[in-house]
Amino acid sequence: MEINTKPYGLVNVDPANIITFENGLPGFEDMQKFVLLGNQEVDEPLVWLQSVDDEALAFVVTQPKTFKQDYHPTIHINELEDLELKDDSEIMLYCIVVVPEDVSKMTANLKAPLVINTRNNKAKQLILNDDNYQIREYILPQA
Amino acid sequence: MLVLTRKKDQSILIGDKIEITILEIKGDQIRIGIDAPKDVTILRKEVFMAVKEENKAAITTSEIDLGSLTKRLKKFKTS
Repeated sequence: MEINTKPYGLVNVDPANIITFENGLPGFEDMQKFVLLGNQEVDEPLVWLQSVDDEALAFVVTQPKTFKQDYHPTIHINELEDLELKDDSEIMLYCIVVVPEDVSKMTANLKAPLVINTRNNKAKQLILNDDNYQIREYILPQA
Repeated sequence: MLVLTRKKDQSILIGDKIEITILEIKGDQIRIGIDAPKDVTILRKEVFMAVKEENKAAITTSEIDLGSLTKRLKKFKTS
């Protein structure tokens, strides 16, 4: 299927790759269908999370381990019940990135990771009750 | 909104699975204990609001060149 995207215009996506956030994301509760655009290899740290329904809605996201190797948030499996996980290995984590005008100050939200079940593409933004991680963590080292 | 007055060590039941207990009252701070099933999300409201605001901030950025950002990240990783 073809969808309009913010970064790349009209793009052909495989419906099988559509990720469903059943409850949307905080602030965007009505937006449930997204796709990841760009190279998702670990050495391409930044990809787009594009809304299928709203062309203007696209987040830059990153896998937290690409800049924080020791990212080990405590997640209770019960909090992820609606993702129908069968095994930890199905979990893929992304964090939403905020890119300000001074890009050296870009931050990732490690407090509220996006948890995706790669088996069924169900996802949610989980807000951690873990004070080790902040909503704004710098991705690049600060001088 | 339902308003109830409670004293220290008194509780409130919400449904048959959630219990909220007043543990300690100290000045303008109150410690609250919450017993609830693990699949019930319990959050400090300001944290939820902050995540909401941050999500909105993440999409207001106009033009982002992912390619050049990626180069920056890689430069930092290999240096």
